[in-house]
Amino acid sequence: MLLEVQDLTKHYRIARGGILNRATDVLKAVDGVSFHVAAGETLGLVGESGSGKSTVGQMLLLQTLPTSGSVVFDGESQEYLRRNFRKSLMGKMQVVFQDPYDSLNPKMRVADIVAEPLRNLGGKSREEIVEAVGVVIEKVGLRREDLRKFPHQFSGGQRQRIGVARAISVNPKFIVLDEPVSALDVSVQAQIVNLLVEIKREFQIAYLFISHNLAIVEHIADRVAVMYLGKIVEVLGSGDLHHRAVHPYTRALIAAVPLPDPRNVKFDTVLKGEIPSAMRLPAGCRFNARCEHAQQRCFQDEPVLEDLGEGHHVACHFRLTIARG
Amino acid sequence: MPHPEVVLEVDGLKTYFDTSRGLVKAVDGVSFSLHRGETLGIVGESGSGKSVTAFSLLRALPGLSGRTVAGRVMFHGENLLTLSEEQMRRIRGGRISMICQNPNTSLNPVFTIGEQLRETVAFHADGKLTDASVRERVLRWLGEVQLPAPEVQAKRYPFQMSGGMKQRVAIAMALICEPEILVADEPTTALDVTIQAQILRLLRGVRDRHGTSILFITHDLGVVAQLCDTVAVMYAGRVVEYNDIKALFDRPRHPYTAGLMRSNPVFGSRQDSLHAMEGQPPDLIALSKGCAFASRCPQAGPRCREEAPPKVAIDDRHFFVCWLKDGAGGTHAA
Repeated sequence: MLLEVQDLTKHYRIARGGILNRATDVLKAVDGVSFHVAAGETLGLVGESGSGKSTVGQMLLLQTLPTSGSVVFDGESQEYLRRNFRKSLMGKMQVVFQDPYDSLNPKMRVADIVAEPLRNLGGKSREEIVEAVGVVIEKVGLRREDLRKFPHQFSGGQRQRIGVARAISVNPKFIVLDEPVSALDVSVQAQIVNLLVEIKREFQIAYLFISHNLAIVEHIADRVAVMYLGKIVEVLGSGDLHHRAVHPYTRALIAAVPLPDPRNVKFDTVLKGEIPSAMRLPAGCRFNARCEHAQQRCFQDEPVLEDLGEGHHVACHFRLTIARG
Repeated sequence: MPHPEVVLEVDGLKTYFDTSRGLVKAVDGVSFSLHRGETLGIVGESGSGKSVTAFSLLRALPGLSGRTVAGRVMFHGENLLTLSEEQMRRIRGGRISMICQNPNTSLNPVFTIGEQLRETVAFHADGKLTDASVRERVLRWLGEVQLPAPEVQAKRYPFQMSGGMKQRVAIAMALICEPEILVADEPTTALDVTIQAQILRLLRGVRDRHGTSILFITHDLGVVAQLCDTVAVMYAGRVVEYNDIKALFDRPRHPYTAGLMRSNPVFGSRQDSLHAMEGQPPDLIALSKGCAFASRCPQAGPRCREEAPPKVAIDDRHFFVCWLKDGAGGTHAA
């Protein structure tokens, strides 16, 4: 297994306010998340704002340190990686961010942006780096001449290609893609999604694809993990997402996707309420207040992920009733 | 479906911006009509001119560099573009109102929700309503947008609410004077999908109960299909296709519309690879002389790059703008 995550948590202490008030609340952004990613596999991580999906990605990249839990990546524990960060992690794990306008340094030429991870990693001559940069920039569909330009000379989609080139320059095993196409126009989104699929196939790179867009996740991911309020509530094959999802939250997310079909207008199954504060988590199941299936038990016992077979895991007391339809 | 009465007629609207790189023709000759009770979707990507169109007809262009240089916006026999600023203020927020992508644009952070709604009602009622009836109306509309416990909400400040709740308040503020027309500029784009579904249902309910006409600006084909009756597709400052919602989805005529639909992944139908549209969105400063879409169009011929394409009628009201005589998939006109 390329990546094994066990019981990962990230808790933040938040001051209640007032200069003399030392009391704090605990915001449980990620609260006990376990999953794995195989080599060359794409795991989609889906959820709404406040679900903790981006925090998970940041912890894998060591941009945020976990409160507790363990991460084993490519056979090495994260403790080890933390001490040998550059050599061990940067060469194997990379990231592409959502906003192609904010994530590229506007004062650097494209050549330097793409070469940066290679230079930081060390061990390559100038000539080797120049050659490698030339290869990846063509791989993402730009031209070698473009390396002399600055980010502002490119459109959003082209900038995201530059971000992808930078990520693949070190030939990583794993890329965290944090909403990589959400800021792009629809006509350009498909180009970048196709590029990511091609690159994954050619280089056998595993992805953690973090997104709120179910249609794109269904398309690009092999498996999907759905997060709600800091927990994974369901994991299943992306081909099963549409018809075999069981968790009432997953089903509500699916029902809320506006279908581009004017003959199939549906808004009768609208999820009520909003995601509660991660500082005041409800007792029992975190989804209980919004759930149409909720019974007394859901307000007392917190459900854990249970195996439904064929890699399908659900955290719901009523999973069997719902799965039977 | 008969649309009895035209409530807004936009004709040849042009809005240009002076920029350091040159003149940007953000809206370059846009015409459409909006009927009573109709929801017209204006669909386009960034730089298509869809939002500038909305701001132009309300004469609320942000910044100083933009100006509407031509066209008419007829509302009950009056051209909104030639009214005085005072007359326009009476219409804006009263008979025509607007909601934006970011609800903070319409809300003042230092007043409570209740105070802001009361002020809006009082301004447009011109002292004709008693304090009690203003208060009653505020609470009724907070309930209408499905905010729980309106009396409590009215005393809260915007920062005490979530994005979805603020957008509900912004909708209440836009609708509280019972406008004939609601201009909605990407009102659900910044919201989570479950909250988006709630807001869309809310807008549909309000429209059906009050007969409001809605001009709905969006980039999301799914949202358009779920809400609109008619669609105007914009590209590079112009309407390239204008059709009834079902006819548009059954058979998109403009190659841009067809490409947009194909490249949009549909949930529940996995494909091996997506049909990506070629190229990048147009640079409005360096538009070619022919069709603005020609460089990305899979069916572009030599003429498309030289001459502006003609308007082709679909029926007496609807059209597309293209050299292909039957539209996408068809052959070039002789």
